[in-house]
Amino acid sequence: MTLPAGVYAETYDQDQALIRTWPQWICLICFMVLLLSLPLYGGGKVIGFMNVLWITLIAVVGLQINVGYAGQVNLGQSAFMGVGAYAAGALTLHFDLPIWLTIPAAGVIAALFGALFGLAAVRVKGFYLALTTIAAQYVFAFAMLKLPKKWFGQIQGLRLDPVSLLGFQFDDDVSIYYLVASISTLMIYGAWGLVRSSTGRALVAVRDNDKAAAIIGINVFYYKALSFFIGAFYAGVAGALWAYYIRYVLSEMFTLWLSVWYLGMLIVGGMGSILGAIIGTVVIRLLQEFITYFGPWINQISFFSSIGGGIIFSSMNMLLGCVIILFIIFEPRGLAHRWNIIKESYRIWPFPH
Amino acid sequence: MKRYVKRMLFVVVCVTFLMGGQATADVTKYKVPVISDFTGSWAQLFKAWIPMQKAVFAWWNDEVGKGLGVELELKHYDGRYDSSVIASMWPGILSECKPIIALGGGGADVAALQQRLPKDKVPVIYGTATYGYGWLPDQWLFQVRPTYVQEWAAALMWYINKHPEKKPVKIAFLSCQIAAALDLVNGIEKYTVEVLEPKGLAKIVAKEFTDVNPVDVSSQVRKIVDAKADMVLGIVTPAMSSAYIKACGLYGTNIPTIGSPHHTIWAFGAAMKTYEPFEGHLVVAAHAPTTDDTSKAYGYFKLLVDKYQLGKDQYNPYTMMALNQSILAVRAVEHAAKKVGAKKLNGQAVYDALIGGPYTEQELMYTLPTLEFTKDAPFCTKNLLVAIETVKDGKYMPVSKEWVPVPTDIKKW
Repeated sequence: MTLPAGVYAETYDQDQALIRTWPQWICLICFMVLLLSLPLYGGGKVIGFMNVLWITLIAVVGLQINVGYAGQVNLGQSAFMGVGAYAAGALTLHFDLPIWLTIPAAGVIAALFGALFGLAAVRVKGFYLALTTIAAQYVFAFAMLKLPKKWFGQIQGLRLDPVSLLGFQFDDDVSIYYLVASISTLMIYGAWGLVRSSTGRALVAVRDNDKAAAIIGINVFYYKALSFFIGAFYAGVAGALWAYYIRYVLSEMFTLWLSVWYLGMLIVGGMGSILGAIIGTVVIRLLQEFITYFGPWINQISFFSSIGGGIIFSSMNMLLGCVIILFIIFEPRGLAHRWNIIKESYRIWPFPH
Repeated sequence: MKRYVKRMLFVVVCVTFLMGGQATADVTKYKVPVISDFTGSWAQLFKAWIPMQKAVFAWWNDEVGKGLGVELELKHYDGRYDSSVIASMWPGILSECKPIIALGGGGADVAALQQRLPKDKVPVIYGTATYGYGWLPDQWLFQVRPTYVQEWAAALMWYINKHPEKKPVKIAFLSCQIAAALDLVNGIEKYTVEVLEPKGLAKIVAKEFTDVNPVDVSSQVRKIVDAKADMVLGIVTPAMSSAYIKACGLYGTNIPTIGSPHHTIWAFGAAMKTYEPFEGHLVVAAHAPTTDDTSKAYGYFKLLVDKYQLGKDQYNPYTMMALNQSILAVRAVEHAAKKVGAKKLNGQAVYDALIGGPYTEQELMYTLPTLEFTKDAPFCTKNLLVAIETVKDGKYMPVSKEWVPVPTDIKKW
């Protein structure tokens, strides 16, 4: 990565630091203040949008580790999220455990479920692995409808009361905002650390060439399963937060379609970059919001009305498809790459990039 | 002269302004959010709902609201029939509309909102039937119809009474493995096994499952035919219905089904322009039949067509759901406004008015039977009535001009 002129590391710690310059610190602090004070001026619409965005971010960052860094195809992230939601719900309902325990526990349970399907990654790749992870989606839905009613409520799902932590109850949008924002920040920070560690480098080695990785001593079996474990852990935490936000968990909330959207977010943002996962999630969520906002307006247009609502639904899905195709053709490295180009151009200005 | 004209004009403008101000000051406007689906999987259905909702609210504003000093303004939101979208947009709806009541779409918004509504204090009205898993106390959701199981059980009992020679009536299920359909199968199964079978009225002979939108169900129907079933229940989509009819044709049989109007006969007839394949089949719903153009409910619909630009072809099982939820919503506001006054309306007042009922058939313009809500369930649990329709000699018609009672011995499942 290019650094501003005159900025160089004098110690190993400086070289490893995520934030290196005081302007970066100022920007980060301003950004954090902006996020913390958002409920004061954001209004209900913004808070509602942000709550779902934060939760989605965790799931997509987890998927980035699994798909973008380790190179494993995963179409079951939504199911892993569902497992986390059910696990958190059941632990809260049946054992009355506090959320500081249930949220990581939900992550671990989802991670074990994810790793189970990840084991297939040792033997199969590409389309075959995709099919295996799709199976996770169906196994999840079927299991939730068939396991004993006392556990997960079968078709009734799980209904939760507002949860609390240290006497503070998360029973409205603003309190939930602070909960999901803080956990998302923690998870994203963790992801950044992970991908810069030896584990992250091993995952990248497996992604780039698993045979070569094995030759240089990387345990390919372990790292492939680990990538699913970590990706599903993130999904499980996201699921737990979803459960505490909506306070109702039903298997039909976690569809294959949701997993496809998550992959779309990665493609748009850029594979193999935590920043890409963040940018992709924000852009696609904004696109969804745009669709939602203009839906009633589009329906008023006589052309669309005359050919039926079905075409509008198709058009919106086609829009996502088109966005993904356009990115694959014109910017396969995603918006994160574009952002890096802009940043580096600014740093070396007035010289051309 | 010029000055005189100017003064007169000034006076006229001032008087007009004051009168206008007076008129608006007498009417309190409330926004009613409608969770709709413009770009999701049910866009086609919701598109048909909107003109009906608008017509009913416009009618009420003109006929009743003006007198009460209340004007209700509908604001449609695109929930895409997606829980995550609805969960994300609901806080914005609360701050934008400060709703005293809302109209819901279906399962996706129930899932997203059910747990938070008591705190938000916004009653939400639904025009669809309910599922067993929604049968919970202290809800802020209000459904104009009971559960599908109660509706279907009423039709089943009607069939059993009409065909005493078939006792016990042999029931087969043809359904799919989604939560809603499983709920329906579980409910009817429990009622049959625990109530009807001991009395020798009915028994279950086959249980077959297929996809939600299957292309072919011939192997499942083969088993149902072999089991000599008299009646098939569990069909929940038009695609299942059409695949079933195709399979029946293959085996040269026509075992009647019980379904909801928008799932079977009407949906099929609208596409194929004939009802004949459904000869003897039954559809049932706890609202006025849409096949009777001499009913008082149809008279009300005609009024909406004549005065509020509603299309003449808008009287069908789909739009009936929008009509029902709208009429209950405006009547609930009306009850509340009469109690607390036009300016003091809020969600709690409307909720109290809904629980306080009853809402008579006449008030509901004969589109629904009398409704009396309690805190025990999101739908009425007493004196439930339904309308049953069938196809006779190729004509789609109600089986009776009167409401048919729902059995009272159905327990939660």
